[in-house]
Amino acid sequence: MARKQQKEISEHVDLVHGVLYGCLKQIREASKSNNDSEPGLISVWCCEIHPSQTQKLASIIRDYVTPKDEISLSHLKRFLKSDAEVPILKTVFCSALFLSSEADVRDFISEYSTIELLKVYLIEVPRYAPSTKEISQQWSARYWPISWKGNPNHQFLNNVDFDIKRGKEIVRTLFDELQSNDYDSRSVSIFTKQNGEILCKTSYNGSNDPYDHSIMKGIEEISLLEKKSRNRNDGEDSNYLCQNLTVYCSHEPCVMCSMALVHSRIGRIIYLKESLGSGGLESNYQLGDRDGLNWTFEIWKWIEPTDVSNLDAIVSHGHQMTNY
Amino acid sequence: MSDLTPDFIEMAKCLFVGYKALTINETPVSCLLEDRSTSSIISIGYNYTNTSLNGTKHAEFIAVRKLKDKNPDIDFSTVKMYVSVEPCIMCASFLRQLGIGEVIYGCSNDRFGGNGTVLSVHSDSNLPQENYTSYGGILRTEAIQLLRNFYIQENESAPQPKIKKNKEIENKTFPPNRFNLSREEFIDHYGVERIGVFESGEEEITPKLGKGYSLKEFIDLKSLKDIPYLEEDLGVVTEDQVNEFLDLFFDISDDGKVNYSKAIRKFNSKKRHLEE
Repeated sequence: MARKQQKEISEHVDLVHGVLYGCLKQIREASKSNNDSEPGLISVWCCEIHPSQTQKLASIIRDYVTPKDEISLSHLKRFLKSDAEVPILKTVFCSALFLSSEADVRDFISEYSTIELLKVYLIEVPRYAPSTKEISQQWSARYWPISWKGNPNHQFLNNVDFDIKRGKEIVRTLFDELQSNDYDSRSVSIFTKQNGEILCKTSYNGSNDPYDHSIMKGIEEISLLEKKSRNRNDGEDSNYLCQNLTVYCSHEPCVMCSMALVHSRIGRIIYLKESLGSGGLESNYQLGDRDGLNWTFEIWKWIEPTDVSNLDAIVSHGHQMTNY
Repeated sequence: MSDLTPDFIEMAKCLFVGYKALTINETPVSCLLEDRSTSSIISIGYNYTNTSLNGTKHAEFIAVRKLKDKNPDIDFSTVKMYVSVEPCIMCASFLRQLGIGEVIYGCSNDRFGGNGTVLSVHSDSNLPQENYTSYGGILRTEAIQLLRNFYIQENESAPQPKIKKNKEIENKTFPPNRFNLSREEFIDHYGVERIGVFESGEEEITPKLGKGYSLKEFIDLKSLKDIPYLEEDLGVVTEDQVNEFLDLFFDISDDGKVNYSKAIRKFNSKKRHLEE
């Protein structure tokens, strides 16, 4: 299985640097990539049951926990046989964020089935999958059996669905907007569907009014488009906020705008220039790729060298402390 | 000893604005903007995300928009915000960029709080613009209870609404009272005589130390009708609404603890629709 995946690796993927097509650099929280020595741990509910109940509990986990638990536990084996004389099965049921007390766990399970829960207690397990098989084995011995399926980020990078030709066209459009003489635009955002269809283009003129930021204007435009479409179609094909849209930006958005994109549930952001003082992605907080908030999105930086130097030439008057 | 009654009066009005938002199926998070020199209310805001289909239409954005429309050159350092729930990370950055004078909030925002609970956007000196001061804990349990009255309703606009459990909110207790403040900051704002509230985590701030309160001491029909923008935005304020609102909350005893012996009600939007 692992060997087969090796063969499928495409030339456009640079696994070491997290770069696709030489244009898109993955921006991630450092703790997620450098977790090799000590894993970050998270509390999960462990239930002990009689082995005959395995199927029932497995289907509750599959149907009612996995789709809704914000903490993905797919890197863990769910069931562990105990060596005790009386056979019991230990289960990682859900995260402590999903259900907060033992009573809640018991109530939750009893809503769906009559499984006798011998014991319910909290245990600590690694939050993320390890990056190598050796570490996987160490963690399995120390915490809880890990289900090794290869480096999860390598798998992610190999499976990113991105139309690079369309991406380059949209970046061209971004430059066209930025250089348009119609208005004094310091930064530009373009909201697109997953298929690359442009929904709106917005710009920010550098005023000190946060409502003028291109992201806030774009989110507003999307909501107005949705209102119009719902009025036309009587609610058919309705979309929720900006769910799973891709947003292209000339600049890393400020903290306000980055969090606005979390609230709006976008799928992916691609930006060109970092905003070292004010940005809410790589510069501060890594919003969008952060545990505990109820939504995450992919963060990519467009690093195509010609585009980067062109942008630097255009926006040289920009100030590091400007909020975009 | 400091008397915090003025803060409680403003926050009680603020919570009523949230209650009015609840009647139009919005999350009951609300705010008031006050002119710091005259202590008069100059704008109000309430969550408007469901109606607008825009996840950024939080109370803070609505209130500031109104104020800027009327007074585009307002200096926000002269403005104080009362907000029922700690501003989220987005709103905390927004208020920082505006240069808000001061923020007073009710309960903390465990999921998204940007004034100390999840991140400290208000006091992170790495960010541009100045830090601003922020204090929580005024009508904390009431703000939580109002939110609980929303979360037992089904949010039909969210995809796949989660199964709502535990609708017995009339008997639910409250989480410990934690301030996003250092000991010194707490004393500076609330006074050294209230340090017991800071240390125990099981008492509420009261207007006067050693004396409990009931929400009805702070508001009446007239004072609520006088809140600017409220009736034009969210409909006429009636005596029945004021009574229903007051019935949603426990009183606080002289020892600062919630008095669970009062029978409280819960907001029922379905019943409301039938009656109309």
